[in-house]
Order: sequence, then structure tokens, then C-alpha cells
Amino acid sequence: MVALEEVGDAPLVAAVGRYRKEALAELYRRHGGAVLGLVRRVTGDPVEAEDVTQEVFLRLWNEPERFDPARGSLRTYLLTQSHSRAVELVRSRAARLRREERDARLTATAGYDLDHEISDLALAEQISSAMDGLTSDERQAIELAYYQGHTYREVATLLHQPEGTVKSRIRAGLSRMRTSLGERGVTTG
Amino acid sequence: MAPDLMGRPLDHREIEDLLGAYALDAVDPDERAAVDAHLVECVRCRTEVDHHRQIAAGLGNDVSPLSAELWDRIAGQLTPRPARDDASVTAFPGTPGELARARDRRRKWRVRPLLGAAGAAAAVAAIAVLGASLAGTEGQLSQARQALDGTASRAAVQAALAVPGHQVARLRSANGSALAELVVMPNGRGYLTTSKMPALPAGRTYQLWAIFGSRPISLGLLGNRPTTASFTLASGQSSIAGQPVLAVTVEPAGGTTSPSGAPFVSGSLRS
Repeated sequence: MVALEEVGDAPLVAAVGRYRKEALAELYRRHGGAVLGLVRRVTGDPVEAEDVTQEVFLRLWNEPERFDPARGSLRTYLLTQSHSRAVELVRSRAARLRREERDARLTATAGYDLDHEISDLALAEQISSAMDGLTSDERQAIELAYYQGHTYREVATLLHQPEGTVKSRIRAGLSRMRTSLGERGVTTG
Repeated sequence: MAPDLMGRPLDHREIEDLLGAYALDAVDPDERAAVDAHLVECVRCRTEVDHHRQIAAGLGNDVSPLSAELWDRIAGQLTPRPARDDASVTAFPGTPGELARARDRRRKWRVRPLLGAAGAAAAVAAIAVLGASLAGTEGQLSQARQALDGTASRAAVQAALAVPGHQVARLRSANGSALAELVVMPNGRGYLTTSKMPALPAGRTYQLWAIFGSRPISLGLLGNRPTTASFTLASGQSSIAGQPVLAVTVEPAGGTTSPSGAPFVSGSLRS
């Protein structure tokens, strides 16, 4: 008998497909904190963060076959969904705010001050240091988009830069981080 | 400025420029739809998006402490497992067959990896169910990855379902059971997304048809154990002759030029 903690993510997802509640519990233990942390960071709202976490894990329970291991790790899959949902929440809230206080909001977010508090996971540390290798323009664009849920057009407005430039910087920055991780022998799958 | 989706589709270069922002959920809805549609067809861009998302997931490693209450909330909403599922609790990996059966029980409609070639009458083949890649050992997993690379994936189906103007058809048998589902994009590219059609004996095959009035046009063979397939409904076909009925017949292996009997399942496209 193999201890649950020693089973890889993919067999655990398969077990979820067979209604193993304890397998979902183990996946929640492994990845729930990252999901919760990401959504909390993007939305700034602990209640919404718990709601999204619940949604994401229930979805994994109901539709485990949607996870395609050929396209990346389970953590990537869960965080991709969580981020997308968090951004939806931020945008619907932003649309509401925009009607009321467009200028105030832009002023408030333009003076962003993002901390770099990232977990002690080895990969996150590596990614964080790969981030340091970016130009400050690339880093700002990626952070404003990812952590604050802005579209690249909004980022362009906030940074007073052309949209096309911001779009290219996001792509170039992400590609360069991957290359930089690869050179250090880190795989991100 | 929003892309000119009505008149001019974004070209490959313009789509590529968007991939980073797309992976960060930082594009507008119309751009998102354009990229979704492109990813259906383009393995290279899909791979790039997967890579960006892996990096993004690393950015998201802000781990928050978990509360027991949250798990209790989740656990309280888990649908119970069916009584028939009697497999051993510790036998996680299972066999692909077992997993597939377990999934059969729980899913009305499954979406499986695609293997398919474009073309009106392209023969299509079944591919191992996702279960095989989930349930296997690491070695089997990497094999499954290799098998999936270079083929349209389930993401293609999901992306097709996100394309504005797509149509779906639920194909029903004579007694009304929905046994297969198709999606067709405005450009005519379509997928058999799900199938519960029973396996046929060797020497027989399912064949997919578009029937315009009384004129059937073969869209391709689905094999004797259909899972997922791609096909093309030429745009001229539907604009000239109106909306077709899509139907599947049972034919001798190799297919026929016109249906030899009544459809096994059939249905119409709807938005």
C-alpha cells in the first residue's frame, strides 16, 4: 500500500475520477494554499478567494478529465483557472467602480507598489529570480497584468506607454523567464 | 482599438503578439475569442501559451494557509460515488479500462483528445482516452504526452465551443437517446466532441454524413469505436442548400458512397 502523500498528482486526479474523496483532499492539501493565495492576491478579498478555491476544487471533482497532463502540471492547470476567475471578479468590480470614480481609481492604481512576497517553494524562488532578470518595464507590465488583473491596454494607460509595446513586453518577458529557467535546469511543467 | 473581427481576422503574427497577454488573462474578450479560435488550429501557438501559463503559475505561488472550514465546505458539496464503483481504495492507478468505465459512469458527455486530419472525407482514428495518460506510470505518461503532441487536443474542442457563431448538434437515435455531440465553427471545421455510440464489431464502421434535403455527403469515417474526430463541412455546402441534417450510419469497414440504411443517430445544427 502506497501512502497518499507519495502518490503523484496525475494518479490522484485519476482517483478523483473514481470518486476518491481522500484523493481530492490530498490535492487540496497540496495546491489549495496556492489557489487561495493567488486569488486573494489578485482580488484582495479573502471571501472571494475562498469562493473561487471552492469552485476550482469542485470543478476538479466534477470534471477531472478536463485536466490534460500533456499541457502542463496540475498546479498550472488549477492556477490558470483560478487566475482567470479572479480576473473576472476584479474586472466586474472595476467596471462598477469605473462608473463611479474613474479618475480616482486610475490614480490609486497608478501608484502601485507590489511587494514580491512569494512563497518559499523552490520553483517560485527561481521564477522570482528569473523575474529579476527582466527589464523593469517588462516586470511592471507582467505584474500589473497578472497580479492586478489589468488588460494590457489598461497597463499601457497606467504606464503611459503604447499598447503594442506593452503587449510585446509581456510576451518577451514571459519567454525570457522560461529561457532563463531552462538555462538553470529548472523545468516548469 | 478592438481587432476587426467582423471584417479582417487577425493574422498569425498579430495573434502571436497577443499570446503573452492572453496567457495572463490580460486581453479583451474579442481578442480572447480570436486567440481561442486560432489555438484550435495552431499547435505551435498552443504550446507557447502552455509555456507562458507555466511561468504564470510560478508567479502565482503565494501560498495562503488553508482553513479546515474551507475544506469542510468543499467536502460538503462533493457528489457521492455511485454504489457500483467497488474498486479498491488503495488501487489508485487502476487500468485505463477501469478508469474509462468509471468515467463512463460519471460523465454523460465526455471530451476526449482528438486525432484528426482536415478534409471533407478525412478518415479519423480513435486515440487513447485521457484516462490512459492519467492512470499510467511516469513512463506511460511521457508516452501519452508524445502521442498527444502534434494532434489537436481537447483544448481544440473547448476552443471551438468558445468561437462566436459556433453551432452544435446533438445526435439522437430513433428512440431519442442522445448518443453523440458535434460542434461546427463558422469556418466549417467541426469536431465530434463526445460519443456514447457503442463499439461495433470489426469489419464495421460508423460513417458521418451531412444530408442536404435528400442528398447525403460523406464527412468521413469514425471507426468502430468513435471517440473524437474532426471533419470539415464546406461552407458552400450549407449556404447553397441550407442547413444539413447530420447523421451517422453503420457501414462496412472502408465506408460507402451513400448511406446503406437508416441513420443510427441524427440531429440538426443549432446555435
